[in-house]
Amino acid sequence: MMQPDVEAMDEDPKEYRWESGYEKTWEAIKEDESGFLEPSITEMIMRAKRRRLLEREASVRLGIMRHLYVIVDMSQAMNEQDLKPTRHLCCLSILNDFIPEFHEQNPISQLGLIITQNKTAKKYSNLSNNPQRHLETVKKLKELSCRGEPSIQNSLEVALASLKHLPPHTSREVLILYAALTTCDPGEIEATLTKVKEANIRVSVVGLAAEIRICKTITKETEGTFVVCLNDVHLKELIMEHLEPPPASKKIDHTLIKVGFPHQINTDAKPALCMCHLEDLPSLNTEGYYCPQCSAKYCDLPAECKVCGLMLVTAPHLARSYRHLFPLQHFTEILLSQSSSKSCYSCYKMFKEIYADKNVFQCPKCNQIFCFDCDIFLHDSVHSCPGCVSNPVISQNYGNVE
Amino acid sequence: MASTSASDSEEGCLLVIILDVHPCLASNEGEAEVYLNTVTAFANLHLASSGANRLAIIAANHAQSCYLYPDQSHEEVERQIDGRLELLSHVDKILHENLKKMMVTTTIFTQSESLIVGALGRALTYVRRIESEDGLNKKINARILVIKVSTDAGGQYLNYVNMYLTAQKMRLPVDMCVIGSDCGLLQQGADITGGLYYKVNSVDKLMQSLMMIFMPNLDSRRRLALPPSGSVDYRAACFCHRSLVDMAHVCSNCLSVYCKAVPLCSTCNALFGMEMPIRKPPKKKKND
Repeated sequence: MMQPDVEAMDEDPKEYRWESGYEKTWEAIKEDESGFLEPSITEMIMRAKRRRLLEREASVRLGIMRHLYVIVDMSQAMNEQDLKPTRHLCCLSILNDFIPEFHEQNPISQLGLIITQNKTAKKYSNLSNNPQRHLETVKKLKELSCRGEPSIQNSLEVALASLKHLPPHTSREVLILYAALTTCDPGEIEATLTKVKEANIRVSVVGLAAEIRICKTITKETEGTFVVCLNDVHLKELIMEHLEPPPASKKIDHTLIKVGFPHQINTDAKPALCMCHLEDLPSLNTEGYYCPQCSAKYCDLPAECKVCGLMLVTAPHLARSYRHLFPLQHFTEILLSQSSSKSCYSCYKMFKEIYADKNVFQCPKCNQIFCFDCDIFLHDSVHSCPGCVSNPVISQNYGNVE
Repeated sequence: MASTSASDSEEGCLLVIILDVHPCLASNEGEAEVYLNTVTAFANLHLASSGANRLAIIAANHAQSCYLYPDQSHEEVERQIDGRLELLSHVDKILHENLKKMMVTTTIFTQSESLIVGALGRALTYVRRIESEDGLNKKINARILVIKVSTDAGGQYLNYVNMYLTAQKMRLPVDMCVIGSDCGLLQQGADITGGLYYKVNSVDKLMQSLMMIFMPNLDSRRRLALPPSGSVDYRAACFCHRSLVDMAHVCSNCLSVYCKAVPLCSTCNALFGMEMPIRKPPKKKKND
């Protein structure tokens, strides 16, 4: 999960980044026999990409039903221009990408936004599974000016107040985007930390400036992560890492949740208003999804029925989350010369005698050979192996497992 | 409108056809011939309609999926036969040869379902490769067309959804043309990816629907009166009886779907707490 440059820090919690030894990064790049630098760099890029995949380990129980509060620091420190155009705008534009992606990858999870500035914290958008509302909030926040000092304690208290009443089977998380180097708290933050820990909330911090001891302590105590970004690209990577559901805490209870699979068309439906946009007075029509319990109409799913409280989802929504639970196995890296195949099984790319094709990848189940790009693509977005599903024996067994 | 058609002919369109060649086609010999001729004609039509159009055909039967065209073992240049465009006769020849090869290698069939989903996965990676090879300056306007004849077993639901979600992310429409019986799984796919779904009653009518419905590109489709998509059934099948349910209980840990409240999740072995919404009378609760 960590980037290579912060790995050292995590292995040795005592040592801060600025205390560690001087790294000679340029020495990792070596010339090959003919004096080219490119193969070495290609290899480093490929390794970095694959490492990220390999580190993603599944099979542990995951907190699939996430309730995440994103706390955004909107203090004076956000006006700094080390991230372009400013830290403030950079963060918000990343959140703009993060929010829809979060809802897409975690369909039955909820998100909320809390802002801290002027020594106070305020909830700007409540926990909900409607990305549109959050995006509107983010738009509003772009207009808001960054003032005063932030307060970690106040913002955690705000998050705590709403997270602690959630049912016990949910994964409660807080993600703090923190730019300031100080926090202005009304009382003892340790007391809040104990409460947060008791409520089983996982706090992660993405720092925009530097490591701060209090953030490190909080994340350590609550089993979250603490990382500091190098630049805007890195910041985006760090925030996007929180798209994947975290391992479930041991204290999480398991329950059965009642859900409904709405019908898209109701044959004897009368034109009706959809329940999600009642305030905007939508036009009457019969299109939409009908709650199987109370026949209330919704124009978009997933939603929680406002009338009977039933959670409304569709089968693809559930299947979207299954990929976190049944991930694609890692492919083994083999030399091209060892494989008999001349082209990538999946994209039909002919392997050439160039450096990028030196290593190919083999699925351990179906033994088909894939090129590097397909390996990354299949693990990153498809999550199914075309070789396995094209094999009648494997695909049938696979189907039975689920 | 003139401007769009001009830009389209410059950019061309990559069509990936996923062709179901399940042996059940052979039960009626004339039908198989019509079917394959239709698809070949459609492929020719696509290539002939614009010089910039590109084509790939992936076949799937019960035992494997296989690239029919392009075939990298063939060299592209061939002599003109009967004054036909070289490319078209080349396509015909390759399709014929590769289909023959595929038929010979496959064994007796026991499954009623073709491995369409495998071919779909290969199509996605193919499109991704062409996209990355072409670079950023060129739009390739890719789309996938699935032509399916075999019946559907529904055992590979998760894999299908994985493919659909990837296609949706790539903004790649997947058109579905089924022959014979309706297929809910493919219908969902068309709905998710923004493609078209259409059921053809018999093989004789395939050519007409391919030309009228699946030939136009995405821009022209907006101006056409296409058959309505109808409602899509998004219900899930419960893990215990594999029957479609309206309301169900879902395990909070692994999202397994159960049609009735169960004390233990059979997928992840999680024991459920008893404060769940129970419809059973309290007496029975003790026995559980």
